[in-house]
Amino acid sequence: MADQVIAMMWERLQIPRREDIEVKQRTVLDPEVLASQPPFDYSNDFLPMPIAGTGCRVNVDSLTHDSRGYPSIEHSVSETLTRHLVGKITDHAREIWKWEEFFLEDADVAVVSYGCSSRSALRAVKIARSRGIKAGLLRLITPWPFPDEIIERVSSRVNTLVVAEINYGQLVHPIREHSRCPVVGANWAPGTLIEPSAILDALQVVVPS
Amino acid sequence: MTQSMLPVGGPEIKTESHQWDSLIRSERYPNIWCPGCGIGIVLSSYINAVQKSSIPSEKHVCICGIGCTGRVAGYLNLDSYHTTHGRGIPFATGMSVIRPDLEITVVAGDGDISTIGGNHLIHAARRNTDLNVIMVNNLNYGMTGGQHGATTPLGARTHTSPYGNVESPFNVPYLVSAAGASFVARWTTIHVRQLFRAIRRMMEIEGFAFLEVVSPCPPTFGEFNNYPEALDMMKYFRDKSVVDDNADLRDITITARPEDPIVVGNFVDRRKPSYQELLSGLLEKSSVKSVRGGANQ
Repeated sequence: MADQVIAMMWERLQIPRREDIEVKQRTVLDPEVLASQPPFDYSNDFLPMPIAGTGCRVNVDSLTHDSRGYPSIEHSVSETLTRHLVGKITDHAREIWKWEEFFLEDADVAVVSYGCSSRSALRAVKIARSRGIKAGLLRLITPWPFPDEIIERVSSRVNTLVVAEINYGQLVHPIREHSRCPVVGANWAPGTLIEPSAILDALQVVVPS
Repeated sequence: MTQSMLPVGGPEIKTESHQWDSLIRSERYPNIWCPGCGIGIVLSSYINAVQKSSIPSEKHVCICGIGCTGRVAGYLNLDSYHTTHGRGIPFATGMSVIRPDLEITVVAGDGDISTIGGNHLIHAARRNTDLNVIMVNNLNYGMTGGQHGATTPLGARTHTSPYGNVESPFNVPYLVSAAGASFVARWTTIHVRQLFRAIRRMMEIEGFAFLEVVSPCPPTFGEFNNYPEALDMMKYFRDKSVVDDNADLRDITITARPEDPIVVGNFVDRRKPSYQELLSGLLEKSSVKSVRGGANQ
């Protein structure tokens, strides 16, 4: 997640060597096929990309556009394009979702966190465990498309979810929508990284030791 | 163009073919521009320059932002990109760095490129990024109904400055020159040959090449500022343009007042290393292998 703290990084970053990264080449549009079909066939999720300089002469448009790439204000064109853009994310949500689970096997309460608050959350969970609170952590690496099935599954196994956020409550709302158990927030807004103690305080309220 | 054209008040003219057919998406005509608009002249000048260029047309790329001028991309039968508001230059910068084989021209309105995207403009000029940038300056935000912007002359009336604009405008050639561009010119839409020659020169230059084209906007600017008819501002350009390649750029702010001159010319044409040349040199010096190459490399 592109947290502000990433830009202020003071820890080491290791970038894998190029040969260790799997590169999937995007399908490229063959200019020959344009004689018989438009460049943007929205019945297909993944469209071949027109590459500049190869003779495609395709208009790539930021406005709502039709299958030829031309801007259009037709309702049906907008509906088709929006469905395509949203659908290629939401229809593949299960392939996109990434998350991590810590100490959830026997947990009574689960902290849900995402981005830079996750490290504070893990610290809070470990301290809680040392104090006899059966806490676990669900770290959402993908907040969108919203991992509703993961929230439903984890919230079915615990009594309470504590959502740790560096704001006054954003992701807590869709989490509450999909949770099978009560949801409380551990919120933080002094302008710094969230302190583990703030999350620990919330855990101790919902599960008194 | 193969479709019929109907000039106002004139006979129907039918043509079977035109020398620019291969560079125009004629099925998209008629275009969206108002009668008397100057953008069509800029489009023609650009097409003419592309056709006469030694670079094959499939290597020419046109990148636009949003607004009336932003629609240029969609009428050209080139690889064209109609990007988001003010972001034509950063989009073009990325493409030009990775694809130095392409001849990239950004065509954008004054509101798009000097106001919404003004920071991109000055920093591309500072880096001397190897791009051609044509800014059509109609002195207001035309598409959205005639609001004043960063190029609206002091005292000029628009829908959002009905008592006269109290903001001083950018003198864009001075700004871009001071920032470091290799080539800086200003012409108006009546200077058709000079536009063509300037754009051709821009395509030869390694570095940031900037052309301001002052253009009429009869319905939203002209009507409130002494130029109500489509031809009025063209007459102003004809009568009051002063060609001075050596003009002191500090003194060429556009007032658009009928009594004031409008200074035009190819003001700056200087050789200095482009951003791409410096980057290429850095890559060669370092152990990093070149990232440049074709689409799939």
